[in-house]
Amino acid sequence: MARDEEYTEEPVKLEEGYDKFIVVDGCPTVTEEKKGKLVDILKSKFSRVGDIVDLTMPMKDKESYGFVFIEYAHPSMAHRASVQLDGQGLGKAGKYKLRVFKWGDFDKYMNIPDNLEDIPKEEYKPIPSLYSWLQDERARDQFCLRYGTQTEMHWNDLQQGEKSQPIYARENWTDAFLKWSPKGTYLVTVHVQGVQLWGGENWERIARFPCEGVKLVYFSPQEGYLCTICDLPNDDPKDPKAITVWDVRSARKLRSFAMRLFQGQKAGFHNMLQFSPSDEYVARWNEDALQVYSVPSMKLLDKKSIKAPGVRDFCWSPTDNILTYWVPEMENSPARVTLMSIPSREVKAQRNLYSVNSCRIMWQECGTYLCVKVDRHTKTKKTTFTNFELFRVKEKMCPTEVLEIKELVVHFAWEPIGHRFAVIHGEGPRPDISFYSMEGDKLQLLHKVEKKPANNLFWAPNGGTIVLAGLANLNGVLDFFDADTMTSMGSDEHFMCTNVSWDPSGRYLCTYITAQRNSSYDHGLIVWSHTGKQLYQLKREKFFQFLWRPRPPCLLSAKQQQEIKNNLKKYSKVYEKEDAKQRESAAVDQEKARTALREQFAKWQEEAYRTYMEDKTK
Amino acid sequence: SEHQQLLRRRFVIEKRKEEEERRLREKAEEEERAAIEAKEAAAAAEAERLEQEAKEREQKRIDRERAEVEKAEADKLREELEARKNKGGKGFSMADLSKLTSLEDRQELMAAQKHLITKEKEDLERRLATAQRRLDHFTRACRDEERKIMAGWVEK
Amino acid sequence: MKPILLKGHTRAITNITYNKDGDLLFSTAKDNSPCVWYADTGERLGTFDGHTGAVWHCDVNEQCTLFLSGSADNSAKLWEVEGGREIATFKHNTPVRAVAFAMGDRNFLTVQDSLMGHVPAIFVWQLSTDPHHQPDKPILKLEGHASKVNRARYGPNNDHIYSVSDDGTCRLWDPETGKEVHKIKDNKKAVMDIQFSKDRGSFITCSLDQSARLYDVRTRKCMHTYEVERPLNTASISPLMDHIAVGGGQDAASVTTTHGRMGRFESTFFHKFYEDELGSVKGHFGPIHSLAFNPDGRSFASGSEDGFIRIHHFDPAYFLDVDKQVTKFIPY
Repeated sequence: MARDEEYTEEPVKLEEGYDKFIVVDGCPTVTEEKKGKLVDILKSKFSRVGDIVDLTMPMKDKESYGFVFIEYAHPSMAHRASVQLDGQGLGKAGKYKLRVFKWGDFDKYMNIPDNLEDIPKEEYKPIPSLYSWLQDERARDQFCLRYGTQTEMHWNDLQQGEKSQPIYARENWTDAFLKWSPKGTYLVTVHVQGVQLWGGENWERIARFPCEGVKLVYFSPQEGYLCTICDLPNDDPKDPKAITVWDVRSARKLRSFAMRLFQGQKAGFHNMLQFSPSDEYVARWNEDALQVYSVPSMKLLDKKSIKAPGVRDFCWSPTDNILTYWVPEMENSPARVTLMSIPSREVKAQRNLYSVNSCRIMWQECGTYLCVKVDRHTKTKKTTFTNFELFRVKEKMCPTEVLEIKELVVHFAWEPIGHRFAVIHGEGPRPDISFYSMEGDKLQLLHKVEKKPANNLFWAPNGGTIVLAGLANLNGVLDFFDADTMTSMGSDEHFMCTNVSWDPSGRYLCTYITAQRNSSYDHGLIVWSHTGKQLYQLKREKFFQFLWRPRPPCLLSAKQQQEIKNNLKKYSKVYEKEDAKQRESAAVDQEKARTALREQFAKWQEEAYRTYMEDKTK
Repeated sequence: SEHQQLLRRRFVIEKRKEEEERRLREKAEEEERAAIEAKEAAAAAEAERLEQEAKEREQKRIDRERAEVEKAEADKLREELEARKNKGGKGFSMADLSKLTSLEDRQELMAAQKHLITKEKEDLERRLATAQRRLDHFTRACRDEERKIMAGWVEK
Repeated sequence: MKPILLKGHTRAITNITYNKDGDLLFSTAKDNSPCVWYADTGERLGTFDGHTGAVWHCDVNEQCTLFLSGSADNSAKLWEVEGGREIATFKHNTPVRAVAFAMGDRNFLTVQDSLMGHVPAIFVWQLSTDPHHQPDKPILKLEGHASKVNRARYGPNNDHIYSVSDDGTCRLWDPETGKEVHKIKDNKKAVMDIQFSKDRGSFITCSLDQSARLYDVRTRKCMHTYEVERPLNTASISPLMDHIAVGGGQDAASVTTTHGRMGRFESTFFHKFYEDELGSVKGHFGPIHSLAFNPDGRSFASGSEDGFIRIHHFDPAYFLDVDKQVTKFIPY
């Protein structure tokens, strides 16, 4: 599928002798004393694409010219250097821009006569307006959808509703799937030859990451780095390519790791590397240890691993450098959940657990609370039950509590911003839903909704509202529930819907049916208000993906937000006026269009009548 | 002859006797039949009376039960309405409610309930619309304020 | 709008058509007996018994004296409306898919399927003035469609014969010479139905490609397009309001596996020139095969795969905008 021609490289034409050489121009000019240091830096940089045989930095009058010659072990390395490293920055904030030429090309350029007028000038490329979508005057959110071979970008515009026109559409944009970066800056497309990042107002390509067989892509939380996980059955352990960490801004490969599948690991492609919330570290999962690397240097922290025999799952706190992981029971030692501060390696909290089948680590989004769902078996190993080990991470000594649930646990969900969580528990199609609060020092049952056809919970991103959804075998019933008053705001259904997704503002909910899961129902989406009112729907054949575009966290402080809340009336006045104006002009536009259509039709009819009468009299 | 006359007389007398006997027998039969008929009639009347009484009793029972059910329903409705009143939904006028507590008629109570439910529904809808508008305006206000400082953030 | 449900057919309805006065409704089904009903009450007036196969289509002449039916038993039959007596049988080589009277009752046409080596063809027959001495041979044979012809009708003044086909085209033929005069190729999939407006100034077609189109008879250009999310079998133009109605649904094969309500077996109304969807009338539990407005525009009927015909009389609210109508009657 070499559909994307931008990836098909010209075959390398090897020129005799010098094809292993490159010329690197644009280096800083240095004196004899500093020459060694620069050589080291360049060597480390340029050895990333292949083994360097020799690096020569010509000097004149005790000062370098600003260019070096590098000889690689193989011509392909020289070629790679000229492709991958050309245009990269060096020094603080990329002060020096390196130009890399293959020797043969350099000759070619040198042979160009000086007096030639129309030497093609390097095109000036402005930095793409990466953040323009955040500047929307009507504070709308975007979403993208993929159906058939088509990808469309839309504003969530209630006035357009079902007639929503894409702001951008492109065919065959991705060969596999689409993904947003966590703050919505980049859109990732996945191809046979690698992944690409897109962004800005006109969806320009921002970077390419050549790697084959990508199965999973994810960003670091601050979008600084990218990890690709590839399915490479014949990966070379000496030169692994399966798991790669990339620097997003320079599109450089930082380091690759081999894929190792070991016991206890479920099939499929996991997040085997995980970035810390502030992009400082990346933790890697190994059979009996976790390894934490500093990024971007990719050096092993303290040059040693964190021992964790048989470690089954791990993740970072969403807000702090706290690494959480659990190890199963082994011989005489119990299963154990550990919270470890990085880089100090100080154990913040640890829980020993017995008779454990499996654990799931679930952080609350603010990093205030942690829940470890522990599925345990009784001594006879015949029945299982669930314990929730609840940690108050931000409190001194990290106190924990246990909530035991005797019934089958269907779903658990933290309120993203807040202190509550909800659990669906019970057998059959109408289980119960319990709401608990972590406020105060003691866990507290707030409310129990009995016998509800629900199997999934979706908290609004700012909390308060939660959708109790019965997907799949429960036909797509939805209950929009207000957790502040513990009352239902309304219930409805999107028959057979497969997915539910909140927009970043928590104002709107999208439910949709994709083609993968359901072939015979109406593919498409419905957008609802957070109170459960159906606003509009879009239908698309062969519907594969729907993704709200994420936004960076709000730039306003809690105080500023409170101030807005206090003065909301003032703002409301303005917006109501704006909306009324919008509605009015939309109504006027529609009436105009309708009048035109009406007149056109009347005119046609008159004419038809006239010719008819003429024919008749003939 | 006299003998013959005697014989005729005897015959006549005999005949009359027979006639008399027959008449008496018929009368007795008639009386007996009348007695039976009277008895039967009385029995039928009694049965009918009993049946009627049973019917009336049944009807009374049904009426009583219906009244009980209606009363129970009315009580329940009233309780519900009381509960609604106590919850103090914003959409109710207190005058309506004080009138409601004195109502006995189920029909009227039902009408009142319907009225209240409609009012509550409208009230809820209004509240939800307000909630939706508030959240929208708050989001917009935040984003508007954010936009003012975004340039600096992008620089960073 | 409480519907009247016509129960009488035992199998899928294939076609329904009103007479000109709108007091009678004729129907054909995959059972062998066409029916005629009182359009107002839904009471069955009688049946036309004689076909030995599924009946695909029917037509009634302007005076409402003659009834024509086409059947899978390789014949078309002419009947007396009053009494339901069979007058004549017209033999074909393959099933008769469609039939139509010409205006003035001088001619009629039949459509034969493409089966067993026979190309799809439209035949023109001369209707005899003596009803009981009908011709045994057509006067014309129209050929050109690449695959099955679904409907054929006479246009205004019998100027042309219009036919629609599985090949995605609508073709116009000269009824005198039998020559193809014009071809419209706007659809990606089979065109299933063609119906004229009451004034005969426009006609509507609909297709399995999920669209219906309104055409100007004079220019033969598409004026408006109406799009839905299901294949369409039938479309009709309201004689009274600026509305059109379409019907269809997922075909029977794919529907058996899905939920009834997902088949979207509803009649959908569109505004004729705003192209807005106005609303849907639900009720059938199989694809709709035929839709027709009553000539007075106050009711419409739909016939479905489920074997039922539903007559809906519109609510008064439906006519609220009647004084704003652009469509005017042009008497023909």
